Amino acid sequence: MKMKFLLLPLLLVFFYGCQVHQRSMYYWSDYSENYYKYKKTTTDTTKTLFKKTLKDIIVKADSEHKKIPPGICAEYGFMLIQGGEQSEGLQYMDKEAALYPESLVFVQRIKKEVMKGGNQ
Amino acid sequence: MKKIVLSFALIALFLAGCAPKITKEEFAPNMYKTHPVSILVLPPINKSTAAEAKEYYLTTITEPLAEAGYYVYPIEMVSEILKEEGLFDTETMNNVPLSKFRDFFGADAVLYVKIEEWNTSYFITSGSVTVKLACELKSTVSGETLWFYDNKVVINTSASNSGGGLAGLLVAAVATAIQTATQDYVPIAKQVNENIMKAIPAGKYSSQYNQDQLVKIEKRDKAK
Repeated sequence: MKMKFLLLPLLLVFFYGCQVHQRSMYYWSDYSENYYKYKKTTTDTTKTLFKKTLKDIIVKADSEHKKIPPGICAEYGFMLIQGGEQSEGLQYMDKEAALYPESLVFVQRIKKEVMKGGNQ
Repeated sequence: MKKIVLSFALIALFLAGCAPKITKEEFAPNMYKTHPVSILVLPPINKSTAAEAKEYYLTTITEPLAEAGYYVYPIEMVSEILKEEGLFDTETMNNVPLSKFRDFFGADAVLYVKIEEWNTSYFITSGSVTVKLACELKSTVSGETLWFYDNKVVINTSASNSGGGLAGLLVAAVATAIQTATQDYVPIAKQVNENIMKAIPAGKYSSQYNQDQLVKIEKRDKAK
């Protein structure tokens, strides 16, 4: 009985898998899974796990021979700033702008708001 | 039953292959003229009855859009900022001129996503879970639509009734109910995203950047 309803999904997976898949250029770790867990049940635990995942991406991307994806450093920096670690958080915002020059306008705006004393 | 399911699947795949095709450049010429680099994804417009769809969807979009070669602004951070400004509902953002997003974020383009379907359908031994999404990319410089696409994935969660008789039907009904109720939407949304992103011109960070003009995609007509 089990085999019968595995057949159609398997066929679909087979046909999707046949399509050309570009190798991922970024290291994602468990980004979407842990972001989803955080949104599904927002607790200190899930928030910490999401934050740890962002750090994991930043720390491990190089050794995985992949790049840090867009937004990850900024996201991590923002969480540090929200947690009171302003100086370190701003460094990660700078790292975002260094990796992705198109983020500079955004990063500068956030830094300005943060350094004004108010937390964005 | 197995034979019928198999032949329907094959027919569907065959018909899908017969859908009218167009090259990426013919479909979205302005993408290749303007080459937007950075994309701001706004919180999706939720047309479904599942309130959680909006936030759950946001956890799925960064990966495929970044892998397509675009700079994607950090989703969680942007959501928080927009919430603070009272702008989390994209519907209310229709009055915000696109140039404001360029001023504040430096974004070249804004991605509007509509969750058109995010639901289950269940009737005795017939169950399915559907996710349908529609994307539209607008330039923050000209305000025009640079690209749009939509896709729908339906997962069949029906259990076959192989036992025969009432007992078999009950077993199948329970199995269908469980399969339908526990089918997670998020993997389906990810598949829909993947299908949609196959149709977007490659962004700056992609190895296919400015080389995929002639790649053929299924044509879409713009809704509404």
